[in-house]
Amino acid sequence: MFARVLPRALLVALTLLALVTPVRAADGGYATQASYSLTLPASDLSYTTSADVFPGTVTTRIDGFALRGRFLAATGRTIYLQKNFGADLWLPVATLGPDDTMDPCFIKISPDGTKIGLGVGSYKPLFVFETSLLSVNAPPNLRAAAGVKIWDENMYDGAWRGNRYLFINAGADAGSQIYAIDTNGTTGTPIEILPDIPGASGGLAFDAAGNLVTGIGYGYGAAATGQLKIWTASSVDAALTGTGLAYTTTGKILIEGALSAASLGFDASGNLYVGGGDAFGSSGHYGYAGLVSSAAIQQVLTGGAVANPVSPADWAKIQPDPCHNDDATNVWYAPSLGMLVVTANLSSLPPTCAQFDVTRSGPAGQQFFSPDAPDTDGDGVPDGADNAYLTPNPDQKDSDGDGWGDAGDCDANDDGVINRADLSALMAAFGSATGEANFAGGYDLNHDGKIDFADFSAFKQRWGKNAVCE
Amino acid sequence: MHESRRARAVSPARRSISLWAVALTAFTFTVACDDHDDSVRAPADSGGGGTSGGATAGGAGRNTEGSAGTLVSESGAGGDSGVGGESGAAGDAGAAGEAGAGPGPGTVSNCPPGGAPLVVGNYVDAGGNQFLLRAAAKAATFALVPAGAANPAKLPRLFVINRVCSAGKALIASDESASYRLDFTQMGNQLSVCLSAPVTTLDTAVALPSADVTHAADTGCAGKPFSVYTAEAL
Repeated sequence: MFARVLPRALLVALTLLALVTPVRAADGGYATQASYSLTLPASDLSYTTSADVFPGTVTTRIDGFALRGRFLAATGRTIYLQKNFGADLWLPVATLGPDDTMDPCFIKISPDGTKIGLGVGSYKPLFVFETSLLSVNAPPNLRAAAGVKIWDENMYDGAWRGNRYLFINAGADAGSQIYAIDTNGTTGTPIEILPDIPGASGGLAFDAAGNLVTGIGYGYGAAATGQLKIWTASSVDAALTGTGLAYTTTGKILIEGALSAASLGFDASGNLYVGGGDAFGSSGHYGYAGLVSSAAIQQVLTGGAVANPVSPADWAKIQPDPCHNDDATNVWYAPSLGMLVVTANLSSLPPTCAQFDVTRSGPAGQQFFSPDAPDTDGDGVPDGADNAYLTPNPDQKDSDGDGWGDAGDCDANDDGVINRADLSALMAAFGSATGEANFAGGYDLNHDGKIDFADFSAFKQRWGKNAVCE
Repeated sequence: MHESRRARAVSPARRSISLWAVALTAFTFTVACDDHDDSVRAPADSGGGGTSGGATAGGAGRNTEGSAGTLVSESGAGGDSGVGGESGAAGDAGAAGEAGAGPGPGTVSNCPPGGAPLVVGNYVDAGGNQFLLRAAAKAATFALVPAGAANPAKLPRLFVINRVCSAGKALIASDESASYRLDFTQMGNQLSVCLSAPVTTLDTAVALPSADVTHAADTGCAGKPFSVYTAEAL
């Protein structure tokens, strides 16, 4: 009796388990949400623009602008701060010297948001500086500003491991290498981590546990373009203390043929995003960004099979480029916003798509959101794309184009400063409440649905300062 | 008992604002406009007391945030015009330098619902300090804005107008923390104003005697001149 019942119970249990367990998918749910366009700053002085997003834990403001979730971008000889969520407007917050230009390899913000590493190009200097140095009102010249560490480094990509070590991926004699720099130090002396990667540089990234992922950007000989490998946090710790890692004999292969293994990072669910492209190689992988599922990564870490690039459970494509002909997509992730931003070179567009858009990645981007991305005002537009994220405005109307949605615009005359014109606008709306004709949400500064003296108190705190309408 | 009296007092005041706002539409002296060029005005320390007809009205105010201060004539040490001492309410709103409260040369006003002061618009004094008066759909307000470009060290003050008194020649207003009486007189495009010292309630402000508009040029505002503003050209 028991013997007969057990298999049946087991079958029922397994069936129920199958019903309640979602099918594993690599797309992270991004494809199920609306996406929004975003244009990064560009410069004629640079081929490309690099960017990063401030962590959600950062409480720092720069001349009134909250850094949390905001983009920092570098191109030309300028570093820019995104004016508002979803805005294509960029405020200079630092510059290089008048003789400097950059084709930025990377601009990377430390996990606690206090430090920035800027690699301005291959065999050009690495700048390491405090976030507090940035200024909207008086952008510092990083060449001349006190406290900026400027080291000559060889570099392709960079990633912070904690708030002290900046890991850098760079070319080497027979391929590429990874080394670390102690940014608390004064010399920038490289600490060897992976000296013998048998191919051109890919990207590099750390997951939440400190595991390192890197790979081969372009294969030499038997080395495969787009191979990604993962090393445990403990092995990376050991390398930092002097025990360098050998590429071919340590770590585990995560996936093969993942574009050019560039522009790597992890989202909040532990999925690994991948950019780049292999238009010049034989794989045919280009024109999109990719996502390796966290489940596939865990599978590899626990001794399971390598992720399968043709399995939707392991690998998903993210395609912002309608021509699918870009060779160098870039990807950035904002954890606090559940937002993945993919940029692509869109130098050709339908219906006249070129065979390849092969120049470096352009500034045209698309914002993708996870299903749990925050939408603070509940208007259906996730915070990361919302030009008035505290005030419902599903139409996102921004009549004056100042980056603040009409529903939350506190800069009546668009001069960027809170002054008499704004006081006049506040007076015109004084006493009104949400839904009334003269209500102006931008002056409901405490977001309680009415404009009164509490808002005027907040207004006075901003008087004469930058118009930051949030 | 006290609360119910206050509740009754508020109701007609609200009605008066509504009627007043309608009347203003017909009698607007100058049309409110936004300032698109704050920066062109020469900076001035508006916290240093008011001006009247271009003459400095008195010593430095005690307002630590540099409030406009120019709308009011300062009471100085108090008592010199028999209007009582300083308010003693100096602080955030820059109440220092305002006319002293208490019995004075004027008479207690009637503040019925309705009436219009006919002065909605933007005004500026000789030092560049501004007086803005608005009648919007939900509230009538006036503001004192220090001269020069907006400066965090010199904050504007905002008042909600609660009642219109003396056939439109005085206002009862309140800010975040106190109530006031504002007397004014108009000649051509010039507006002379006198703001009382702060008092604790609207009823107290209503009970304040009027400033002496017949001596607006010298001692009518608690022993000091009224502050003189000129309507801004549009």
